[in-house]
Amino acid sequence: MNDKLNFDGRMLDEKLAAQAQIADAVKALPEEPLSLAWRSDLNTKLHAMAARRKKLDLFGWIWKPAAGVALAGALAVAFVAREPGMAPVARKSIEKELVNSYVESTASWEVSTDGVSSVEAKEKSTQAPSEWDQEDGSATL
Amino acid sequence: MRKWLALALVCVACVSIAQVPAGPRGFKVGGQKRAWGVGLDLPPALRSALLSLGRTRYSGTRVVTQKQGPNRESHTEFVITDGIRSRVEFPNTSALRGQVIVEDNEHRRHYMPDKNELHILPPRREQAFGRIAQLGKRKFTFTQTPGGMVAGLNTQLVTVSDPKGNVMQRLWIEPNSGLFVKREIYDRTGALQASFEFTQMNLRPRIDASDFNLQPKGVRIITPQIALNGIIKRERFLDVKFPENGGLQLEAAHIMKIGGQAVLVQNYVGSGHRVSLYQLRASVDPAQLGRLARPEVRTYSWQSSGSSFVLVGDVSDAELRELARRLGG
Repeated sequence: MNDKLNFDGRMLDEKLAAQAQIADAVKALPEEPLSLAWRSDLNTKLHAMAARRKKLDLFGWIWKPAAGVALAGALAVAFVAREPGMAPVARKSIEKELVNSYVESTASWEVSTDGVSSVEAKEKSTQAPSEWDQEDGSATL
Repeated sequence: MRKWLALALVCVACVSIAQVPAGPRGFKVGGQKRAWGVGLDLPPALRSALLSLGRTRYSGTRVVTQKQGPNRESHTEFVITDGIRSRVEFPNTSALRGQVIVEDNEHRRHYMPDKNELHILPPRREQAFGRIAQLGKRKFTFTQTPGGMVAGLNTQLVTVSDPKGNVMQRLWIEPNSGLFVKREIYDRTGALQASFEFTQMNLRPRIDASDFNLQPKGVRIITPQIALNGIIKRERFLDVKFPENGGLQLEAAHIMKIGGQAVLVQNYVGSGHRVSLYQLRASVDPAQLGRLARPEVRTYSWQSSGSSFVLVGDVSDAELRELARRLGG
């Protein structure tokens, strides 16, 4: 038992001694200073890379929101303004309102004969003068 | 000599007979040929009323009630009529106080002192009479019954119904003078759409010729064409309208709101018919419009340059199509 322990200790001592020799050999190597040209070149490359990165970041600030707005706009156009040039109007009653308008105004016009119709009574009882100008052709008596 | 005298008398008799205004194709009233005739099959009171256009003389107070959307609004008018001329004024308590309307067989002049404007429009009374006469040409039925007293006058009631029996109009007529003293117009559900009733009438009024003067100085003259051109320019609508000498007369042009947007409305009249042209910047469904049409109200629509046009009128589908074609539809 004691023999085995002595053997292991010896082997460890030998290995440690070999490592110390390698360390001494490395220490003995001549120290070579880094070239200034190489450092300068490295710095230049790093600086260029940083500038490009900064540019990309700045461009991202512009194009990412722009792309978002464009996408939202496209969706709005696709869903809201389905027919170009036509305003969206409550579908349910526009036709009915047109026909009702005709029926009501005709009845009012018929019954008023030489008096005033409902449209005239509504429009012409206001105090504000009409917005006609000379180019419209109105004349003054 | 006696032969020549007899021949001359025969000629005079022939000319006199030719002048009797009884034909259904049109007749002369107030010295002018009317575009519409009075059907021989109309009830006597209605025939008498239509033939009396331009021959009546009265003054009175008339209450007019008109339905607009869910609301009914009434106003009172003071009316003086002498043949083809009439004058309408309003009580001092009315929102229309100060306004005066004078109409003859050529013009309707509407003076609005608050705006300092004189609107010169086509005469309306003859067109309104023409529309009643047109009812006789359609498949409406007429009945005449005693109408009771209205404004102190004994009346005959003429009821106009469609072929299904729905009452369209009721007319109370003073049979001796042919005056319409009360009138009610109903929609197709039977609801009262518009009415007028004289509350007081004087059949022997003192009328002065100056009652029909209406020439205020320093006022702006506005015609329906001026109004229409102004709206087209200001609101940037397409310049689409019927020509002035095309058989239809522009009676009014105005803007109304439908679905939150401005719609240009042009109302035209002619030969007892009324046609409205609507221009809007929204799409309309022709099928839906077709479903809303009824015998006395036809529709036609088309689209052009980003706008929709809708013609609504009491003429046939073929006539509406022809009118639309003239406008590029």
